[in-house]
Amino acid sequence: MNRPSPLLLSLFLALAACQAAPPQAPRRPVTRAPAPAPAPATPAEVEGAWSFGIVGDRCTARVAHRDMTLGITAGPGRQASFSLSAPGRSLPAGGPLRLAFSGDGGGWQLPGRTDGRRAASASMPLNDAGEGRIRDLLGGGTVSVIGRGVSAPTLSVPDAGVSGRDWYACVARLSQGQGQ
Amino acid sequence: MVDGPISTPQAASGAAPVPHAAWTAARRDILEAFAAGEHLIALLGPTGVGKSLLLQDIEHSLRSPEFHVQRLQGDEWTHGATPAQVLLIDEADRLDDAALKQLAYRVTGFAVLVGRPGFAGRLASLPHRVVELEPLRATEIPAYVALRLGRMGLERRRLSKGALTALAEQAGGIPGRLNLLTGASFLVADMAGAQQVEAEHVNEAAAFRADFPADGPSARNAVPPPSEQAPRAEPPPPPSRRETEPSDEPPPEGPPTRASEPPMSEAPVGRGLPGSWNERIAAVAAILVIGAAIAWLVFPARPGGPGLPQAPDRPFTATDRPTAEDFTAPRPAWTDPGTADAAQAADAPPGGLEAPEGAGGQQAASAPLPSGAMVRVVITYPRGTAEASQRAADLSGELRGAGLSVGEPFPISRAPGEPVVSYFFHEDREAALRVQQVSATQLGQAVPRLGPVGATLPRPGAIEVGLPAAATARDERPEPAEDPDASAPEAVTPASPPNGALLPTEAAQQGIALSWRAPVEARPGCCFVEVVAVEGGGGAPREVFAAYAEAPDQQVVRPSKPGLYAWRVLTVSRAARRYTASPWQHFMLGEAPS
Repeated sequence: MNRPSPLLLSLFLALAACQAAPPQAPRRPVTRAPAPAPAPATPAEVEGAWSFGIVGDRCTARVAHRDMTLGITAGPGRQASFSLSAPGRSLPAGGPLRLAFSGDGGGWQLPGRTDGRRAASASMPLNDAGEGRIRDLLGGGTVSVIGRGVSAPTLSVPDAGVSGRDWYACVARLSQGQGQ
Repeated sequence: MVDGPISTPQAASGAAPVPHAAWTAARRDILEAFAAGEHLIALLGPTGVGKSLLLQDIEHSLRSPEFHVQRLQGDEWTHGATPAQVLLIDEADRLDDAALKQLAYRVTGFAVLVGRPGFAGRLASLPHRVVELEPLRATEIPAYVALRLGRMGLERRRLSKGALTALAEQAGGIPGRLNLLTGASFLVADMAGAQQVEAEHVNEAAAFRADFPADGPSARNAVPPPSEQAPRAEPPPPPSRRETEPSDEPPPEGPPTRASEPPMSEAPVGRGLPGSWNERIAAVAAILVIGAAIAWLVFPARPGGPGLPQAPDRPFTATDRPTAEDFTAPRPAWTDPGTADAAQAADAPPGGLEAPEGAGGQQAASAPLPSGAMVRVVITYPRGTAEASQRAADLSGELRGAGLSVGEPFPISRAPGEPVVSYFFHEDREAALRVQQVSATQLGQAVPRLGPVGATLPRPGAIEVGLPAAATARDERPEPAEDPDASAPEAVTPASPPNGALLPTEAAQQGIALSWRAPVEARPGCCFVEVVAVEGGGGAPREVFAAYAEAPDQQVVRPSKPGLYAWRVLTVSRAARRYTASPWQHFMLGEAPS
């Protein structure tokens, strides 16, 4: 049997090396528009930062993140309200929802609804239970919105620290009917 | 000055002095002023009313490892020396005006100046608070004399009702005079061979004093001269008892009460010794003794000196610190740290409190505004622990009783293992020390620390007290490291509305833009804005806006009612953990309420 000449062998190997990459499939002509680039995914949970204020007969606080902001207003009188806003369409327009909190101090839910501009709100009397809910929030936990069409992330609420506990005195005064 | 409080014999009962009503009130006022962060207190009262003893008691109460408490005499003041943080000056009328001014205008610290009522005139132009130590009430005098007799070892039953009335009239409720006259009256009665001490003995003893009035005009007002009590041409000493005038001897070595106590009272000189020479010798001896006692009253020895009867020194304990019982009227808690520097001080009346000005610069009749941050105490306790909740409530009451502004106790999940007192800006350390001092029974020797701050910076003046699960836990952490060199931020310069501006009511609906010229490095969150409604009638300012400003140089506010408002900006440095307050500015919204 004749052995292949070294020259032919080298030529074969060289050609084989050149063909190491798999052959590409023939290009097909584009027949439709490319799919839109995927939007940056909204994280499942975002952490907000507290800020506090005392404005007239109201005690105001906010847990803010660019993807979700929770506002808390105690007063005037013995009423407290929560507001939630999220950019885009992550909250439905004009629909019922529930505001749910879970934290070290316990959990609670509050019925609310969104307005035409997709801003959610919920309110409650500023009684012992209302005070307790605000206290729970100040202690830290997570706030989520439950309802149809909701895609807003869960808001992680940090412990409000001494600022929040100081601000809570404002809430307690209102709750006790002392006003500002 | 001599004894003020009603005291029980120490040896017999071991009890501390039992204060009479006025003494208690004055003590409470001073400690309350201390807790409230006031700078300068004038403790005024006539000679012998007990001011020096009260000062010593205050010293005991305020003594703390954290404070340098110094008690001295007016003539011991040294110009140029740095005064102690807490300065208690007896006979302060010996201070010159420059020293008074220095004390009145120092940015931090607390001083009590003791003087007679006339001293008030020299303080008129300086920011201060007057605490008057009143004499004993008439109803308190019998109890006081009874206690005094017991202390002197004299028999109470020997003192007739008339003598007691005479003592009350002659002494005018001044404890020092009561002490002197009580002993002297027994002596006079003994010399007369009388078993019962009658009014005439008291009046005779008082007659000696009348010849050598020890007190100034104010004191004379407090006790009518004997001539008004029993008019006569000349003092009626017992025959042959005025052969020797009372000498101007230095104060006696021992307490004056000893001069008239046993053995003389127990072994009366004249009793059973007929003959004029014996009587004369006894009279001379008595006059010498009384003269020495009068000289002691004329030249009061320094507190702590050998000539003063004093409350025995007690080791300082937590119960010596101000407690809720020491205070009755809650007051807003103003403190003096964080004031703007001297440049701002020129605009703001110094002394820790600023009198608000109404529109047009008119003075408003209202409580003064603080120049430092408003102290606010936050109490935390372990969640779900009823006992800790009760302790927190007790502590809250105690601090409120001391005039501090305390928030609702707050349950937390992660409570500290020992009592913790935290402040968050260096300027608030003094306030934290006060908090610790007031609540020493619960906090023990917990050392106030610069507490950690999270993402949200606390407002200036915030003090946090963390209670542990176990009441007996102690703070055993090492001393915190602090950076005293970090400089305070520059104060802002308020720009608009101009001070004293009159704004229409409608302005509030649109929003009133408070603006200021911020330091170059100011950023959003740099500045804490406070707006208070200045109520008339001396009421405490009511906070209507308090928050970190949304912009570094402006904040819009919407006051809801017409009236006089004051506002200011506290520049806050997170890095340095310090703040500086701007001077208060005022504006009138609409018409001032009548």
